[in-house]
Amino acid sequence: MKRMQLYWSSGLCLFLLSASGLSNAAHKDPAIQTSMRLETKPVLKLKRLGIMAVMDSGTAGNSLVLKWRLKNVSKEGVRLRDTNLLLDYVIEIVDEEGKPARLTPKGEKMLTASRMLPQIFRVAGARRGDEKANRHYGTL
Amino acid sequence: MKKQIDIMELYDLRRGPVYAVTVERRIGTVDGEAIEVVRSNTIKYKLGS
Repeated sequence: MKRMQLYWSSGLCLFLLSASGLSNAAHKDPAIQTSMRLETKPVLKLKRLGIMAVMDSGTAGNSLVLKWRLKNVSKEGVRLRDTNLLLDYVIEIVDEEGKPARLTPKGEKMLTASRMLPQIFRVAGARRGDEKANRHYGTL
Repeated sequence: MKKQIDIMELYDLRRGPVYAVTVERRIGTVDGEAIEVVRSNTIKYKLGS
């Protein structure tokens, strides 16, 4: 019985040692370091662009159209991605209590589909070269 | 650059509460070291008003 306990405890020690070694290796991996760096990028308030939004009740009975205009307010040209509306922009709708509005089933599908796009563009850019990948960018 | 979307298609909005709607755009800086954010004006909207 004591021998079994000895085996178990030594096995556990070996497992813990290997796990700590793996986590050290993960921290040294440049790909993981890059992704960690991306997540911790500072967020700055953008002064080069401005967005003016208006709400327009559509002529059709059950439509409510949100319109906005992105404008370059700087003297320099700004180049930015222009792919899918739901991918490029974040629409935030909250009620009086600060609770975000629920998505419709169609909205969920559209949002999920838009999140797939970066992968498709990455593959398309790698296969066809930069010229075709650049068509997804606009200049203001 | 003008954009528009039918938000009734995307969001399940109810009659009653006043909703605050904003549009946000995030782009990376030229050096890639930071993310810049631009937010629109906030639109207050009550469905059916």
